[in-house]
Amino acid sequence: MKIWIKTFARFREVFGDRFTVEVPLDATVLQVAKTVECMHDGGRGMLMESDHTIRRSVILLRNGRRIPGEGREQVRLSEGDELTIYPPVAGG
Amino acid sequence: MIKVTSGDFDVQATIDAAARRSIGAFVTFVGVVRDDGIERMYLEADCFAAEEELSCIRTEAVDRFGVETVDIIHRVGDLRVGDPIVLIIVGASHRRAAFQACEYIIDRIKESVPIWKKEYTPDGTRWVPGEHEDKKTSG
Repeated sequence: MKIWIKTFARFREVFGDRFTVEVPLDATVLQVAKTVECMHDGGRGMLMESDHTIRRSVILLRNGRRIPGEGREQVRLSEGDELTIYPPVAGG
Repeated sequence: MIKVTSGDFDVQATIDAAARRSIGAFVTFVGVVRDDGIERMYLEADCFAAEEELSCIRTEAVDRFGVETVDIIHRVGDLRVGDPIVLIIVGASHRRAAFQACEYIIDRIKESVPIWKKEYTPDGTRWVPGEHEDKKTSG
């Protein structure tokens, strides 16, 4: 299935601002994040920890709504969903 | 007013617009671009989501501290040293709640509002790490 990916700031510079990835049906957020990170050598370690979990400081939104930290990696996405990936924020 | 904008802001006009007879104190916070050896700074935001998050923070501040008004304006785009970045104005019947709410708001902005800063130095560029950053994502 096709998932839209949107990124900002340093992630945008590495991965691109909006694009699609092809993942298996009912893929989880974790699977999609791994797919994105593997697309560019320069992105290695930006999204994932060495134990293959998503970095806690990375913020994720599904169709514009934040995915809460607890259990977020196992959230299953649907065809056409948009996963927004924020680097740690630095406003103010 | 809650706004993410490339334009400058007018502190006094924002206070005037918020003024009401029950308010006894306005606390104003203005964040500015500090000279850390940089030539300029570029601020990027997910603007719609940022304004939504700022609105949530305003609601939190009103609920927690009982303040009467909260205005937050955050700038994006290219800024130079000394340029204002963010304006927070909190109006309350008494000063203590206004000070507490103002500090709470700037801390929450740094924690969760989708805005990022890129610094341009004579040696190149660097993304400013967030206060809630871990080491690997700051490269």
